[in-house]
Formats: sequence, structure tokens, C-alpha cells
Amino acid sequence: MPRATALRPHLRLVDGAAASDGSTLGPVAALGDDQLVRLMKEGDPSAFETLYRRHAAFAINLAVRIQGNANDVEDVVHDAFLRAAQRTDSLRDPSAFRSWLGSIVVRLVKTRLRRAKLMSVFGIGSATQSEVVDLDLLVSSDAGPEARAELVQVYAMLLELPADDRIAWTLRYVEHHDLQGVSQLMDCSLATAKRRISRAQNHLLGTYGQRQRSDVALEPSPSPKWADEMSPESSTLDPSS
Amino acid sequence: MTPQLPRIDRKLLRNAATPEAVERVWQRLENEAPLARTPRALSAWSLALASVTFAAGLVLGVQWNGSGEVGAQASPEPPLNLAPAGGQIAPQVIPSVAPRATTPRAVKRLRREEFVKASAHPEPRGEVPAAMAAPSAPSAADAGPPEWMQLANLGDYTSALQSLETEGGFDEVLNHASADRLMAAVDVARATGQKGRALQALRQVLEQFGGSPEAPLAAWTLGNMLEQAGDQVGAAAAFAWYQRLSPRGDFAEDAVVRQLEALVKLGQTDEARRLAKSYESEFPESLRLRELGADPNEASKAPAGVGVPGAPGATDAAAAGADAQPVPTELRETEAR
Repeated sequence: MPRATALRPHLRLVDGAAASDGSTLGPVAALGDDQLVRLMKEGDPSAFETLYRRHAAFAINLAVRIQGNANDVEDVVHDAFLRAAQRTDSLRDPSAFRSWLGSIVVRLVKTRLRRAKLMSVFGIGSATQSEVVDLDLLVSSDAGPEARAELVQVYAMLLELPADDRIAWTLRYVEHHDLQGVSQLMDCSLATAKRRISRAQNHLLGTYGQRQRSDVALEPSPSPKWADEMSPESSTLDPSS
Repeated sequence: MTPQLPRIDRKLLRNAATPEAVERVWQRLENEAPLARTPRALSAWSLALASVTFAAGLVLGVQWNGSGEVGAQASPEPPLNLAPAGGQIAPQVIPSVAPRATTPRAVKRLRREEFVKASAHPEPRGEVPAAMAAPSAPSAADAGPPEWMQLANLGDYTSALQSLETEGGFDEVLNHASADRLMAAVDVARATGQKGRALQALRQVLEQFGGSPEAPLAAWTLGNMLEQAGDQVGAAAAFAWYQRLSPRGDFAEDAVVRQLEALVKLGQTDEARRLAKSYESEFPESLRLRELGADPNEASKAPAGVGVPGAPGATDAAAAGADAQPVPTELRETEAR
């Protein structure tokens, strides 16, 4: 590609493994996000690369866990970094680059999920492709069969939720962001974030309870390890948590 | 027993960001380079280009004035084709407008006057063909509305039709009417079951008075009538035309969806997909999208009457609309909305 070739001198192709520790990115690798963003605004391509290397894994995992699969995740992450690079002027707090990038990823995934639903409603696409849970991609090989089964159940129930609720709950209970973080990532108010998580929580609890009762009726199963914070009482979601 | 959900321990989650995936994305990003430099470099070049363009325009303008030339003709717009046809309908690209939320369900209750007022936003006139951009003809306006129009405005359409007949009938009225009289004639025609006349008048409004405040209503009504008559090609064109006439109108969102539905019924799925993406970006706060987001069950089934012809859930009308030539609307006897 002529354009890319012409631009190569400006960028150095750095080995991913080596770059992860910043050893081959030079002195910029030691800088904080805020300084890197400032350098990027001034046109320093190595600053952009450093930011990419530093946050790419976060962006990819975020997109995968929200979606439950890897469909188009690389496109999402590519577009997110591209937008971030083009819109750094709109980033008020350069030190918040990571959460800002996360909010772009969330928005792109949400758009993708909504588009799939829209296409499905009009009979010109299938929502199912975006609703496949890739368990091998999500769950570590260290996880036991019981944990895997639980995750399957949770993700299957999440797929029944509207995109906003599903994303909010995933950010809170899979990615373990605090409520403030969820609201920032979803670009909504704290109250809205709470409402979405609460709605999702209620749905999941209701569905999970039904499935549990039917499972018990068929075959008694050992009690899984439950989290106290997931109880209905905690669905009021203390912001300080 | 209160059910409890399992805690999802992050240690149980796999790291999906493999070095290969990270590198693949970086390769693509690198090809988009220079990322960080683009905006500033672009800004400088844009400024320089704008300056040169302005200077060139200034010189040309001075020369033009000096030679006494009349301004150049406006570039011709593609002609409006709302006549029933079996061809492919390309989705109209909606002019970029500020995202906005609307309440599409409120559309049908509005009276015509309210609709005209609501749709009469200042629009980019460049979108309207020059031949259609003429203002409403002032013919006979000074004499006040004729009797048939007064009766129509009172809702007495039967008497209005009788009065209209005494004035030479529809043909005579349609030949010399202004946009508002044409719309009144549409009301009379529709109320008295003369749908062919109504369609004729609506097309006339769009062809002769495309820049008038009545034009968006005419396009909207035409779309409704053609859709009701089973002419999805014409309906799609009419709803697309409404969007061009009134991209900020209160019914712009509904017009996109109606065009989208018509395209789906025609089996033009590629065009429908493109329009759906455009719809989503133009109306990110769309109530329809929100409804989709709020009701996951809706995502798994197409609404009644909507579906790809031949696909499960497709209606006979949708299936018929894919291949068959649309029946001329003048021959249809179905009541328009």
C-alpha cells in the first residue's frame, strides 16, 4: 500500500511482547497517560503507540466481555483508538485517557449490538451472530467445570437483556468497575447507571431463581459459591462499593 | 430461598488480548497513520486551500462583474420520479442533521395545518430541484379561497366536491391551483373516494411547488397512500423525498423507517441495511431504537407485515412486491390513511 509505505518512517513497528514492558518504546514509555496525550496532540506518533500498547489489552478484553464473544472486536478496538487519536482535543482530563477510551469502546459495542437488533427487527440480519457466547474465549482454562457452567448461565441470561442494561451489569459485575466508573464508561449519569444495573440484576435474579428451582426439581446440585453483594438487598447498589 | 447470582471472579476470565490480536490491530492502525498528526496537518492544509479558493473566487467574481455576465445556472438536480415503477429504489442519503429525538407515534393525530407548520423548517434549498423550488403560485389568491375550499376547510367534503364540480371539476382546479389549494383538493378527493385524483394532486404539489411549506406534507401523504395501495417502490421514493424536503421535520425519523420498511418489502436488503445504518447515526436517541433496546423480544421477530419476501414471517404483500410490477395506484381501491 503506497500510502502506508510512505508513512512508515514516522512509525516504528514494535514487537508486541517487547513493547508491553515498554522497553523498546524509548523514554516515552515511562511517561504517564497525561503526558503521552499531550505529546500525541503535538504529533508525536510514538506517544500514540505507547498509549496503544498500554491500553490495547484493556480495550480488547472490555469489548469481548461486554459482547460475550470476539465478533468484530478487533474492528471495535481499531475504531476506538482511531477515534481517540482524532479526538484528543475533546479529552478534558488527559490522565483519564483509559476510561475515556473505554467509553468509546463501550459506545461502539453498544452501537454494534443495537444495529444487530435493528437489522433483525427489519428481517435483514440476524441478531444471533452477536449473541453467541464464546466460552473458551471468556473463561480461563484454570476455571473448573462448575465455574464454567455458572458463567455460561450468567451470559445466557445477559443475552436476554437490552444492550444498555447488559453492558452496565457486565461493567459492574464482570469488569468490576465501581458505579462511578460504570457511569463514566457508559457516558450516563450515576442514577442512570444504577437504574440499569438494578434492572439487569432484578432480571437476572428472577431468571436465575426460576432456573435454579427447575434444576433442583430435576436433580439436586451442589450449592455454588455465591456472592453476598449479588443478593437482592445489595441491588440498591451503594455508590461507595 | 432468595436466589443469588454467582460471583464472577476476574481470575476465572481469560485474557482475550493475545499478542497476535494486539499486533493485528496495530498493523491496521499504523496504516491509518499519521494518526496524531492528521488533524493539525489537515487544519493547516485546509486553511491554505480555503485561502486559495477564496482568492480565486474573488478574482473570478471581479472578472464576471466586469464582463456583465449573468450568474451561472444552478447545476441540474436529478428529476423527481414518484411515478409507479418497478425499478430499484436507492435509499436517499439523509442530509446530515443534528441528532434529535422525536415522537413518531404522535404523527397521525396532527391536522394538516399543524403538519405543514411542523414540517416547514428552513431546509437546504440546494436539495430541491430548481424546477420544484418555485414558491406557491399566487394565482387567484387575492380573491380569497373559493367556496369549495371553504367548505373543505369546514370538513364538508361532499358539498365541497359539488362546489368544485361547478367550478369546472378537478382538472380545472388542479391546472390552476396553488399548493394550498391542491392540498385542499387532496382532502376532498380522499374524503370522497377519488384516490387517483388525490395522488395526481399530491404529485402536482411536489412537481410544481417542491419548495412550498405544503410539499413535505404532500410527500408524506403520498408515501402513505402508495404504501397503502401496495406500491412500495413509490412509497419508498415518497418517504425519501420527505426526508430531503424536511430533514429536520418532526416526521423525518418516521419517514426513514417507513422507507426502510418499504425497501425490506421490496427485498432490497442491501439498500435497507445502508439506510438502517444511516438511520441509527442520524437518530441515535431514536425512540424506535430505544424500544428495541428495551424489549429484547422484539429483536427476534419482525413486525407484522415486515420481512424479507420468501423468508419466514414475510407477508404475501411483501412477497408480491419483490418481483411483481406495482399495480398502478390509480387503479387501486384501497382507502388511504
